Amino acid sequence: MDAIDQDADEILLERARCGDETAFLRLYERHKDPTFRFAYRMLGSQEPAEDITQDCFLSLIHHPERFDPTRASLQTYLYAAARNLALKRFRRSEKEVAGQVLADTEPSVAADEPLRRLLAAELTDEVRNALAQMSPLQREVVVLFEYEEQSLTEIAAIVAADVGTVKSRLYRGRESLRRELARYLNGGMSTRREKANHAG
Amino acid sequence: MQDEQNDKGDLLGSDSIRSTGDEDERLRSLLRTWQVFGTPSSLDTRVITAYRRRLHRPPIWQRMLTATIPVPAPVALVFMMLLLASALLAIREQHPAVLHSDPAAAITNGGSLKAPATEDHATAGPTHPQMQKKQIYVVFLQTDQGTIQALTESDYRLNSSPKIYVGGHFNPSTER
Repeated sequence: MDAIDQDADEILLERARCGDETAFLRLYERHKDPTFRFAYRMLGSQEPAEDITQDCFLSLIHHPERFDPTRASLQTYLYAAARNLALKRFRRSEKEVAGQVLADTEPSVAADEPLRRLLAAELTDEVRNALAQMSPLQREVVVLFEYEEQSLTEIAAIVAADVGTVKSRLYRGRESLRRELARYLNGGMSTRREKANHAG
Repeated sequence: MQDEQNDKGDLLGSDSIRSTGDEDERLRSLLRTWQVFGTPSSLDTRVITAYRRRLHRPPIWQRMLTATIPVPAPVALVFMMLLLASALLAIREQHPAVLHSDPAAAITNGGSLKAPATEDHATAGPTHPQMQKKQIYVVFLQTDQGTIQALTESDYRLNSSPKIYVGGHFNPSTER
């Protein structure tokens, strides 16, 4: 393993700020996937998620004073930065983002595509839509807890709230998901298409 | 790590958070059907390019020299018209009082009057009694303070509106 792989984030960041591109690449490789995944699940669309991921990493170089390693890890900082940028986008054009979500969830149906893939795609779309229906504050907590497997304490640091608030939002978010996805939870994993086939 | 497990355990074990374990597991497995794979390669290229551009940013004076400010055309037009108007005003202030054919108008406006008087005409006045009966054409100006001034080839700038006597006989004894 390369020595640079073992360096702490703070050291890599300091070197990246001084112009060490290798250090920056190493940092980016370490943290890009969780940051992008979180932004993508928050916004439901690839292009804005890419923009947010890029802005998060560049802010590390441009505004080094914003990251305090004594308060949180670099990944927590990146989640928080991505979360703030996503909320800013929501505030700016909530309807536009919702429209993109719906547009992206159109399943690509090919005539010779296996039925299972179609069903899986449909189920995925249902999950995406259910998440998109939630308020951003509930969605971020659910995404961080269920997908990114962050602890409640970490989530509280990311969303700048106390643990009790996080628990409450998570509870309400999951209740909302249960309502939206009730037919899949109660009737197993069968999709609308399967149900329609059975009914037919 | 221990905290994390405690958090999750607290959440999953709490009746206030969830109803049954099976239902919660079903919800979790349902959510996991939405997979997001790695970042697209286009993002990698974008981030690296942006990092290089940020690092190799030219100094501020160099950016100032090549900086451009987009201005809407109407704003630029209004600005140019204001500039032109102020330039014209400045020019007019430097070259004031073009003489009118009517000298009274120029004088009452506080401008200067250049009298086309010859030496003979210009020497008339109460200090030359031998010339009092001579018919001369000369311009005398009476200011508000009562003083009478004769115009010579020099310019006079008057502070108040004068009375003008042009032509005819001038007799200082009667005019006073």
